[in-house]
Amino acid sequence: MSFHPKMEYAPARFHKSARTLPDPGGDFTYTAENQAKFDANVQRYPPDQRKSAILYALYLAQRQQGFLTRAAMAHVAGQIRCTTADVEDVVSYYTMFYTKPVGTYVLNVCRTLSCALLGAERVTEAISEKLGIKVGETDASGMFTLIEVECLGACDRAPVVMVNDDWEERLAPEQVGEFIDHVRAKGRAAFTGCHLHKEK
Amino acid sequence: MARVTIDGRPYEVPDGGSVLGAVRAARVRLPTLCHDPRLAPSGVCRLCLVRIAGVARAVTACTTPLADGMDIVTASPELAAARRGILRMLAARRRSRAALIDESHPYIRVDMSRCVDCYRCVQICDEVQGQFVWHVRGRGLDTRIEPDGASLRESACVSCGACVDTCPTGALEDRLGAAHGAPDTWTRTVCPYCGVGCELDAGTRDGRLVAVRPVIDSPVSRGHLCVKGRYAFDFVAAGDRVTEPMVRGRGAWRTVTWDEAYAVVAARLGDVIRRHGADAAAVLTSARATNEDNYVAQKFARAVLGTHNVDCCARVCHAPSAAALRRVVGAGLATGSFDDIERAATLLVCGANPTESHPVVGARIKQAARRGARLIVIDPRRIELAAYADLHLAVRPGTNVALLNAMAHVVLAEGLGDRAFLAARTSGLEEFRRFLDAWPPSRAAEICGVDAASIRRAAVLYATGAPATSVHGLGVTEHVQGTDGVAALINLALLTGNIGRPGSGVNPLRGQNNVQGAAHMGCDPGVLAGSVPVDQGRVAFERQWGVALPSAHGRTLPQMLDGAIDGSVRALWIMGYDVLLSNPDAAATAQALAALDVVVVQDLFLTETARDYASVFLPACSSFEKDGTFMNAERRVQRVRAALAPRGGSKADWQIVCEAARAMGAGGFDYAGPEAIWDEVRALCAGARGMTYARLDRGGLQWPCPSLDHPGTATLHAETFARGPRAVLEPVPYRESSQTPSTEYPFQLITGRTLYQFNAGTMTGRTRNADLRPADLLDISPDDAARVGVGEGDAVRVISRHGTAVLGAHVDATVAPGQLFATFHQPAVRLNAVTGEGRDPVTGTPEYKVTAVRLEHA
Ligand code: SF4
Ligand code: SF4
Ligand code: FES
Ligand code: FES
Repeated sequence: MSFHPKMEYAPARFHKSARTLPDPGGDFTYTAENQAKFDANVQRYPPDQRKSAILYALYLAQRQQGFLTRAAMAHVAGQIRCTTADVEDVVSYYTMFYTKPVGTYVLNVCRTLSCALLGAERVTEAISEKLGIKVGETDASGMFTLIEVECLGACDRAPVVMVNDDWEERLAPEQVGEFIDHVRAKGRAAFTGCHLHKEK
Repeated sequence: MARVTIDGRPYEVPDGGSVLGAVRAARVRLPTLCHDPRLAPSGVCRLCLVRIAGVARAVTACTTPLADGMDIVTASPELAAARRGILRMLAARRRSRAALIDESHPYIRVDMSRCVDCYRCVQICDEVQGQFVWHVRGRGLDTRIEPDGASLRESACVSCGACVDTCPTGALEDRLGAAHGAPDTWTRTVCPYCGVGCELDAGTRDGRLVAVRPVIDSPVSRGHLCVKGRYAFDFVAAGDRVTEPMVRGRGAWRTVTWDEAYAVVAARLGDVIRRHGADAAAVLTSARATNEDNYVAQKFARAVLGTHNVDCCARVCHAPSAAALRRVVGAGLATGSFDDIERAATLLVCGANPTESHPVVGARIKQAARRGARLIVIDPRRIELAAYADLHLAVRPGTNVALLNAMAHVVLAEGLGDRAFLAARTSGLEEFRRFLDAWPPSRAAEICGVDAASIRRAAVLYATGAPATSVHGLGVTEHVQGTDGVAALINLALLTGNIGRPGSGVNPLRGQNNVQGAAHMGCDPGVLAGSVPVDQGRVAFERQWGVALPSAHGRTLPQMLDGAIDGSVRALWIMGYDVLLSNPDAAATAQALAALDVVVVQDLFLTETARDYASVFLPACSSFEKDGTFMNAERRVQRVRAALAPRGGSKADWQIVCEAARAMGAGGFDYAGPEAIWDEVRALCAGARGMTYARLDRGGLQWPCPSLDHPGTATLHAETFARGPRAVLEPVPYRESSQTPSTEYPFQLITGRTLYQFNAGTMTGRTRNADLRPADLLDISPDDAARVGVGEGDAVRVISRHGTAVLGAHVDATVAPGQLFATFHQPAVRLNAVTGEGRDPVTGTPEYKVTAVRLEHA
């Protein structure tokens, strides 16, 4: 409909952004337990610094649902009293917040300098080949997700892959296939663990 | 001044600021990508690297404060290599990622494949506009800039175009005019819309207006514009511009030459005057025409037609502000400036919605509040600024006076007044105090629907946070107590000493770009140019014009229309004003226009008034096609310059009036151009004397500016008031509006503007703003919507005692239950069929802001 009866413009035809938006997702609210945890955590900050609790709030949401949908971000925004867009910014910055469902084991391959020098790219390739997935994807069994990240802080043990919350150090490209098979068979028990623990 | 050495040569540059500022002042070239003078330096692009003697490494010039004696090197093989490295990295990044392309917005094209991560769009949307649309997402190589919604169109964007203006690469780009190529000429002029009066550069190419950009060093807009000034200029070239004069004969329009048109005008006006006397003719002028246009139009009415029947559309908006200010402090002008927004410690926004209606000022207020100024908002709706306010008083429509009186009561009762100011500069305090004794907040609370504690808090905030400035809009003036409402605001300022010093003041936000000027040029039955009452100015004007001025009192706009109905007014000349769409009680307006013998309309388009009632149509040109001056809400006179030749046979308003006057045999209308007219104004008005075109060409000047070396006046009433040393505190009794809700009409309808449309929609309705705001909407609170069963988008009929209108409903939580809000821009809706006959008794300004209505499904 044209605003003015005499307006000559053809009806507007603007195509929408081609960008991929976070999954809207179904309704999301914290479980009573998570709500209680959040309420306790937010007390740590002065009332005008409520935004400081955003990482914890997102962490809870991700723990509850496995990944973050837009509905979850909107819920967090409501809790923090900021805009959903502000929450999206934070989510997009951290590689440990997922906007898609992930596998049981998330393989975070470090691609920063030390690891890169010692063949991180080949580690990624090897995982890719073994599981038949590209960076950012989850394999058919739903067990593994491959992600590239920046420095994991274990440069002296490069190349490093972080599996969920554990370091897998000095993981040479050639050892990748074997490692994955072990994890598939034995789960967490297959992890070799952090050198600090090993060398104790 | 600081002495610095740049690349081995000595320079003297202004001190303060950054090293980059010094380099620029010395006119030495230094590449930058992320620098913009409107923004806080971010230092992200790192291209402005320089070496400073004594500093171990290269530093970014934009973020390094300048110090006296610095030895700066801007060019060396090392710096060149560093810059090349940075550019190489940027280029690699460009290749590495998929880019966002967004063509959802009618004015802005987004192609992030050109983005260089300078973050200027993110910063300007935050620091200048305050909309927070652009967000930085991801990190490292995957850093990307995205709007906060699914697309720019669905984001919080208000289309101000600031991000496009600052973007150094064309990642954000104007769509308008893109097809015609970049402008080859830029002409500095003033925005054709609101009373903020932003300066802008109009870009033309091949006789076509293709782009507009903001002016960085403009004191008013400070490098910013809103969607209307920035993008809504296509109306200039709309296909239905009328460009030849037309005369109506037996119902049909006939195109005629200008000479024929003038002959018809002269004959028919002459006829009316001969048979019914000069006071049977009347002239309405336009607050969107220049000072020069308005000046000659009122001169035409007074000197040629011989009547004081001349008025302008200020009558329907800010006449009460002018009347109240004139009555209390002696000058019907804003007492301060827009710069007081930044200087004030406390801002009171009363009955105005600046972020929609005066967007550039709205953005400045928002930023001031974000920087920590106290903000008090008095408005029935929870307007955007309420979110930034310390306190929002959701006053019931039409009860401003009660609320402001109660605030004044608190100030006096708690001893928060400015004693020295009260003693030296006011009188009538004792009587005023006795009057206010009867206005404790508890009494106002009942009337206004605001709790007493909040009223008290507002008073305390305002009185204790000096300096405090107030801005008000039509939410104060368009009531039966319009003038009283403004007077009550002035009283509050007087009690707290908030007049006459920087950062204080009572400042009406004028609706149209030249409302202040039109009224000031004498387009008011009671005053002559320079705002001199007729009796005082008579002698001087008679001498200058060489004619005797009429003695009878002139009529105001509503009185003219009343006169049309009772037969005492027979001819009406309307310059740039769609009376039918603008005036309340449209049925009565239509009846009045139909009763006239002669209606001459001077406009760009065949407006509804012209189409239905005009006998002669004289095609005027737009403000992009003429020279002259506008006077904005802060009394600043700024030059309007022609960027285009008048379209077709159209002519500037002043030219049409002068030629018609000459056709009627009048002398004194052969001006060489607008400057000659302005010089006549300068000769007559002391306040304009110092404002020659030569000076105005270098930048606007604030009235009064009495001599050639006078810098203009930012703050009025600094030492004394126009009428004497003291202003009288006058009691303002509260009177209830007749439009209170009843069982038959349970809702109170408030009318107002949206950001995207402007008044009768004549201009904005012919631009793509119409895509952004396609129709007038009726905002209704969620509670009421549920109760009466109205859903989003439903067509509803609004019915008042005067008429009905059908609009789409919009469920909106910013509206209070029991109230409705509707915009009034769409000719097809004609909301003014609904608004009533209530008028402010002092100025005759209609009560647009409250109408008792009921709703029906349409
Ligand atoms: S046009 Fe204005 S409001 Fe919209 S994104 Fe750009 S700066 Fe922000
Ligand atoms: S704020 Fe007013 S003067 Fe400035 S650009 Fe917008 S409409 Fe024009
Ligand atoms: S570079 Fe890989 S852990 Fe630091
Ligand atoms: S201009 Fe100085 S860092 Fe970008």
